Amino acid sequence: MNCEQKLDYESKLNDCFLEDCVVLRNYALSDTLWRLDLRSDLIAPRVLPGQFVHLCVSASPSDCVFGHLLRRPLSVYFANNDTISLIYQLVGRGTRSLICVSAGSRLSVLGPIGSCWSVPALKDNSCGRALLVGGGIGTAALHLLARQLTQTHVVDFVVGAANASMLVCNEDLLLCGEKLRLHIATDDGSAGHHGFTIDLLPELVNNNKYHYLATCGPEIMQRKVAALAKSTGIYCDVSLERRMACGIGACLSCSVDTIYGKKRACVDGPVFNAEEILW
Amino acid sequence: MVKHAVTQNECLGVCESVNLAVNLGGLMMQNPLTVASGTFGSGREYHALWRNAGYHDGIGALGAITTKGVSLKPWDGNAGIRITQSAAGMLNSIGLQNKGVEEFCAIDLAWLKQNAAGTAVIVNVCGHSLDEYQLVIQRLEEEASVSAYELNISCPNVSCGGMSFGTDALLASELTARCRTLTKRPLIVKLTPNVTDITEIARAIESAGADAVSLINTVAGMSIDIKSRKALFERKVAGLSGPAIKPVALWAVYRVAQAVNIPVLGMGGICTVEDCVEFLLAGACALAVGTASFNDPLSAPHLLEGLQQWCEQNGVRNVSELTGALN
Repeated sequence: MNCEQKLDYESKLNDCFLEDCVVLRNYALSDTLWRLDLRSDLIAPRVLPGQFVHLCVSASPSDCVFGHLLRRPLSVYFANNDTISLIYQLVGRGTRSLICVSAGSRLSVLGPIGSCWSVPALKDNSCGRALLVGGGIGTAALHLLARQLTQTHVVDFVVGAANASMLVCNEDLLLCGEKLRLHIATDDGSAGHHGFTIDLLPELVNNNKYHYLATCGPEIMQRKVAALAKSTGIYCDVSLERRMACGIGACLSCSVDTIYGKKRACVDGPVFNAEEILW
Repeated sequence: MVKHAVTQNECLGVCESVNLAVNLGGLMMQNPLTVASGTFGSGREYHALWRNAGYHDGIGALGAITTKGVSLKPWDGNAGIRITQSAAGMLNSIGLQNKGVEEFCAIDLAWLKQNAAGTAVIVNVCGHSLDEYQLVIQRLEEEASVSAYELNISCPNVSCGGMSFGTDALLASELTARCRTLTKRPLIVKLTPNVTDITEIARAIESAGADAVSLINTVAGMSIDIKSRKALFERKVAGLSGPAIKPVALWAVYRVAQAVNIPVLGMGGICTVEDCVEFLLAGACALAVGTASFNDPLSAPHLLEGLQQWCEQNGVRNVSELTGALN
């Protein structure tokens, strides 16, 4: 499986491209969530689950330089041989610009970037079991992993958000098949459990033996998930979000404190083993 | 002045090529373009990307590579948020994070030697004290692949050293003089615009033996999170860069070029070919592209191609003719 590969630094750099991608679709999924589908020949076939792209939020180069100088890192929601799909949340000026980009225009995309989810190999042909915990827009980074993992694992996918309209959870998950078990939590109780994702985990962990735990979302949630993984001995990866400038490892804007010193969220991460992180 | 008397039509027949080479205070550059320290690491990350985009020499296309600041011991850089976007620019508070001169020599210089042997390497040197700057240079003198030094006395993001040397003419002069005794290599001093009179500092470092002066470093700025009513950056101050500061940089380059006889490495918000030409006309001998690389990682090779074309179309045979050629 692709996402089990450990990428060395040089091959990661060699596999990164700058591509002008044609926008296939850019549409609202809810009040605050949008989906952007891009045609990509260079980046799409190289994407591994967990990696991200760094994209300009306007189709006009001068608008980018003078209005939206910094690219935005967005995790890849879905990718196949010629398409990349991203899900983004409307949060500020950059994403407000991005929703104005119409189909047919071109966006400058840099990628794929970063480390991928590192699922431990199963010892025999038995079916593994994995627990994925996504909070808010961070859930998007787990979808490609869920698609791949369900080929070999039963996957408990815990998806949380502030309310039902912010859940990154839709009919795409049906493609994961029957090995996917969905668990929903919302802060306001508008869907699933009324509360946090973290509330659902003790019962799941008590009742199942997990080979792998992966989480992406608010850092406070990831920290709690990582603590649970440590106390129960489950191998756990986290995907961290940072502000980024270059996105390729040069500027050191996106530093993460780890037991090995400062690491870069862009190229050393975004996926880290949870035990490396100094929370 | 009849420097630009050749018309475009004549040029198409005559100017088959443009001589882009410049001499920056003894540093021979194949073209006037380098990168602003701190925006480019040591080039390795951009090298692969440029090659993937069809620039087969990778970062070897540059006139010089300017490395991120190198200190004696590893520096952790600043805690908390390190960047934010602002109108036509960005603020950074990285804090000169680097792994120290030993690891720089073992990894970065070794990589540069193997992958960009034909291109000049300017090592940006930073320190907390006069001694630290000197010790870094002493160590780098052992390395054959270093072409020149850029003394960083202008970073607003460290509390000890950095900008404190660049805002005091006496200190700037003493540091330059001490480093001058340690090396015959071209010594460039990078100035901050956050002073009352940048020409005073420029004259001081010229008298102390600098071969060239580079400017500007970032402009001191601030950002506030109104929800928490806290400064966005832990150190409160951060460095503003990008097209927002270009007019400030251009004016500083013009004034310094008028005030000193050493060549000027101009930078500050360069994004377009027109920006490059403006800096040259204002008096810059060479140019650095910085923040623009974050928006377009191929900015530098694009600007190089564009500058060459501009020269061809405007009858400029030697790019050095443009330096200070303001009418």
